[in-house]
Amino acid sequence: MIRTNKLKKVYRTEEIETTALNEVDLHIQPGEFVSIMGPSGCGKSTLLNILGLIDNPSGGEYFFLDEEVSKYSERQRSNLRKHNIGFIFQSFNLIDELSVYENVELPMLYTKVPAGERKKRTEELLEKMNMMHRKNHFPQQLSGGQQQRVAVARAIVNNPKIILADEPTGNLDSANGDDVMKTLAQLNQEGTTIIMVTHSAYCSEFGNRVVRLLDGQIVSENTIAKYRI
Amino acid sequence: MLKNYFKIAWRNLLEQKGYAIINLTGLAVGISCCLMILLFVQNEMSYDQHHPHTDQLYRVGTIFEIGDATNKTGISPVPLAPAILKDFPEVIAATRIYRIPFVETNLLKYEDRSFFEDKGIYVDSNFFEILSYDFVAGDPATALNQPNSVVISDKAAAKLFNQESAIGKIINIQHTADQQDYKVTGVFKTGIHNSYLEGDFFATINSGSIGREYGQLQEWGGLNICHTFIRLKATTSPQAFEARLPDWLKGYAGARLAELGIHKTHFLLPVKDIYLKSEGRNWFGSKGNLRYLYLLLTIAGFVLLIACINFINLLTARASLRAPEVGVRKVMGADRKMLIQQFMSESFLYAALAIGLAFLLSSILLPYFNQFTGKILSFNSLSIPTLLLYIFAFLSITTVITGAYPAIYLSGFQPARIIKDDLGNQLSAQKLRKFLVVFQFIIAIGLIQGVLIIQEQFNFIEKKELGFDKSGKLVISLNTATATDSYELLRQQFLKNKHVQAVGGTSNHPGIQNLSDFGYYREGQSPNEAIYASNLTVSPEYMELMGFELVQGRLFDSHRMADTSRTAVLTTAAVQEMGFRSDEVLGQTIKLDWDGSTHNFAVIGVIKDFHHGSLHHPVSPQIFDWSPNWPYFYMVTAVDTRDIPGLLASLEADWKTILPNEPFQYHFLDEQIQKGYQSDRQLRSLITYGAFLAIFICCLGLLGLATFATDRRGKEISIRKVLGASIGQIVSLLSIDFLKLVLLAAIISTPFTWWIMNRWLKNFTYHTDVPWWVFLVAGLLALLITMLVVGWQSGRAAKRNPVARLKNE
Repeated sequence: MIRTNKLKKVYRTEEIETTALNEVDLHIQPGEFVSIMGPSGCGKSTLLNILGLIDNPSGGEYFFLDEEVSKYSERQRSNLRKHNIGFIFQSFNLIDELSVYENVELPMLYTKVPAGERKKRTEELLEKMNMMHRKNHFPQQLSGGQQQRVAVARAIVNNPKIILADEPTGNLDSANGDDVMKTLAQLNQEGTTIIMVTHSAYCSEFGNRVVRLLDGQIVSENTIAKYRI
Repeated sequence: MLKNYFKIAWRNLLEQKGYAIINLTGLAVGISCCLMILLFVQNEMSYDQHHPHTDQLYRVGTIFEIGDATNKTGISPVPLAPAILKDFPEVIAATRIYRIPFVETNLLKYEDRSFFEDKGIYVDSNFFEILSYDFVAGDPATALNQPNSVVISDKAAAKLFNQESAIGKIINIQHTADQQDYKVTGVFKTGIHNSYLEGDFFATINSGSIGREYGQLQEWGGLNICHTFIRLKATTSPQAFEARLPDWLKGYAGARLAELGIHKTHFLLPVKDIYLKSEGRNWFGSKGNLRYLYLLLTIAGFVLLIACINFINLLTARASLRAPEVGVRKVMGADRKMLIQQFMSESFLYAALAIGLAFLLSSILLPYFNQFTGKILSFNSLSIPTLLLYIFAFLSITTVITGAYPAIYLSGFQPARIIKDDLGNQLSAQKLRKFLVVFQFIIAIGLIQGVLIIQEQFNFIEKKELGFDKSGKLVISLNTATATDSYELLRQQFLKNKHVQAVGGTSNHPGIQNLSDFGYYREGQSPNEAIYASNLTVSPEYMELMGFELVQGRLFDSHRMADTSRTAVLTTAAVQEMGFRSDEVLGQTIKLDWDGSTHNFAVIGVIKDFHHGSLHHPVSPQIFDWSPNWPYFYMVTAVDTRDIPGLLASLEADWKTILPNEPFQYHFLDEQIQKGYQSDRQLRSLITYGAFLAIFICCLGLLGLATFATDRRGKEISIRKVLGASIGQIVSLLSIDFLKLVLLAAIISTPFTWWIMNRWLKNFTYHTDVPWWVFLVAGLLALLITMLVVGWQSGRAAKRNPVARLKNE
């Protein structure tokens, strides 16, 4: 599903050049739940952004659904992204000016889902996330756990083939964090591929493979035989 | 999707009320300014569009060639109309209006009612076949068929007959040349269509001996007392037709023009263009000013642009607040086009709200604007399609100007960097913002400089020695033959009045255009070597009370009857123009051909040049004579002005003892002279309003930017305060950037304003130099205003408790 070949990302300023990713080769099969771990600044989020098609690599190849996409234009990337990828962030990134309902509905506006279908899917997901009673609230009126549940609903509303989660539990207490992880594991069980960046060894155990990064390079890959649900 | 865009725009607007108020106020003021000016421009462009076949109607004017110069006028000789109709099959109809020499106004009488009307127009009987008026009584096709018929305006009818029907009533019309009874055969309504030729009445020229005489004049050279209108066939090209006129004119007038030494040709001006594009005077009619229309549109456009810039600046300045939303939307799949659409929708929402507010504001301001322009403008006069067109135009223009750049700018953010909170230089756009603020202030400061320079020219006009004493002079008009005949009786009566110090008579006075130009030549010269000079017939008392400065010789002496009709006093310019040496001029004879005979005048004195017209024009040669057989049309009185109501009441009473049935008409000399600067005064008001609005909207923008800057630098301000900075230091820290921009704008605007205003000053033959201090004052004023606005906002920020902000950080 995802394959990178000598993937490279270099940040340049006037004075210094920083290599964020250095020849990363990564292969992810459909249905996998991969956790990417490593210390701060090792390139985890950079890798996730490139995999999520919101950033371009500086070199190497990136095959997404068997297509080489590293040279794609912004428009092509956006098109691929909106139909195939869902995102979950540490800081939730809900739009403050939109209500819970509207935040969840938003991705379907960009994929031109008809209004009736949008309503049905939004309500279904809000029910599933137990947020229906809060559908007219705004993000500032919700707790962190509730916000992340809305963000998860938003990420999956277009039935993406893959979900990218960047420290999804980083801003949550353990109970709420657990809820989110269970939801992700559940989605994975239902067939969605998940790639998650995390600092937490506990969270990584919800997946079936852990990829460790250090200074922009993959240093180890471990399969977890029996992962946590 | 659109719903989503508007929803978010609306919620943003509610959340950022302060910025929304600044944006909406600026845009609403800018748009309402444009709306009112568009109403005015549309009205100005609607003149004479309503006549049937208006595209085929032309006025045949005359171009006089005098040396290298040409003088384009609307006038034409009397026999032109019948000749052009006879000789050119392309001409379907021709008609004339006449200006009877020396007639400025007309006294209309019916039973015991009488009043003056200035716009009394004498016309051919077929006048209404060509130019159309809104008749409410009578038949335009036949109204003027009979001699002594008159068609009057509804206003004149109301004054003459109250509610009674006007048709068939006999009224008396009197002026300085004649008086006749006329039968009212038609009444037209005024105020429906705009026409440059707004008559109070139209009387057939075929009335009385004088009218008939003028109507049948066969002179092709001088006596251009007509304006001739023709209707061409629809298929005729006016240019091709015009090209045939010089040869045609030669056939009729070649010999006569050569004899008089006149070079002239005829040209066509579309009737619908007369109001805005004619040169020279339009008899009876009003005249617009195309240059002012352009200027008005430019100022309105600038005001709107300044308001749009505020919107752009505030939106881009606060881009960091919108960045997360842009990032999320992009991650969710929004492409750049969709985001541009979103931000354009936001601008559209603002534009729509601002237009609504602008219509409200304009409805409130329109009465004042009408007072200023002298028009009756209203949105009700606009048809629904025009109104929709206005709304559509403002919506699109404002949306595009305010929305395009911020949309392109905001939609270009890289989501990966937003999410990483690494916006760095991405959100700079500071250079553009600075550039736009400088641009706004260049316009605002330029307008302030313009106002100051115009005011300086007015001060110059006030102080300029005109060559006579204009103060304390009341002029009484003698507008009928009875009044001119009663000059001496009136003079004696006025001299008994305790308010009056002196009384003199004259055919014309400064501030009133003198149409009486005559060809004067020297002994030994032939008439075609004559120079043209303004002739003034005056009484000796007039020359004395006006305070003209005698250079040589003497003025007319009321005790020397030998001075009458045989002597002349010249201005210095007339002496030079006639080619006299200053030491030989006294005692010389000058000649004038008039009415078939030659009149000789001995030069008895020379006075210093004086300004008969406005300072726009150079002093012209003037020649005075004292000819008691000629009427005086004005009595000029030197009066004591300490009790003006008492003065006017007693003079009117004196007038009534001699002329009980004629209205008393007067004006003050200095006020009449001021009328020569009416359009300059309008320009001053216009630019003053423009400058005020521009500064106001610029200040709104500054307030917004200063608020944002103080919010953004809140932490820095707090730390500096904790470290001991005073409020003054913080205010200057926050203000200095803005002050630099305004200073730069003041420097840049200076050469532009200097160049433009120098060109304007050249409209005046006599003008002040552009004073350097104007630029200094305008710059300082702008800096002061900036300091007040930014200083106030920074002061508020500087007074806040630093602990609160640091805690939040």
